[in-house]
Amino acid sequence: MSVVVDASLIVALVVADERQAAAEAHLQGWVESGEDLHAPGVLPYEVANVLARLVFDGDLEADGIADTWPDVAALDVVLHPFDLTQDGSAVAAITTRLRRRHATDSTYIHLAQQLDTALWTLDGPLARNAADVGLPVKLIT
Amino acid sequence: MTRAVTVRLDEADHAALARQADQLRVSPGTLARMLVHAGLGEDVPARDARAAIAQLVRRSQQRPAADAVTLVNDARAALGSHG
Repeated sequence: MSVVVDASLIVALVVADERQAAAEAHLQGWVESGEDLHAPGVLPYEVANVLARLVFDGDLEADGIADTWPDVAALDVVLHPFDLTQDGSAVAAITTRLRRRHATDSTYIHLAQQLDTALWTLDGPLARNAADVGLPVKLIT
Repeated sequence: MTRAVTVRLDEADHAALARQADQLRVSPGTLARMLVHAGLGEDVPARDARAAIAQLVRRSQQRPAADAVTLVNDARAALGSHG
């Protein structure tokens, strides 16, 4: 079995988010049960931007980044490249259904559809938006 | 624990090693170790995912509380891709 993990789950391990315990429990459960974790190839760039922001804001020492990446890598998330010819139209269609102006969330949902699974996220508005139009997004609370 | 091995290279190989190491921004010794790993087909030992999750959480407790969704949304905006 496979699950698609939103960047918010990974970031919730890095910062003391109030939903951290729930995110941790889900991730530990998936790892323990042998679920494969998947994400679009954009995930590391999103995490890198978050880490840069934390350093800029003084919430993370620059040295802390070097400690963080090996642990993120150990999650062994399978990253999927964006196929320009096959994924573009599907992602655009999802973005239209969600009535959004931008497409990053849609790349996660499209991947979940391709893998016949769900995207797991901490993003409540995205989960509710997706549920309204029948897209496979599950909210961790 | 590491053990040292002395390897003698001719001038051309040494120069090539130094050049590639410089391009990769690592020392010649580090590049040599990477090449030995690759040649022997030995992967870097996989870290235990459960321990890594616990370690991330443990370190996060030393930082101010933050909203992961907001941080990710800001990161996506910075990538010019979030709506």
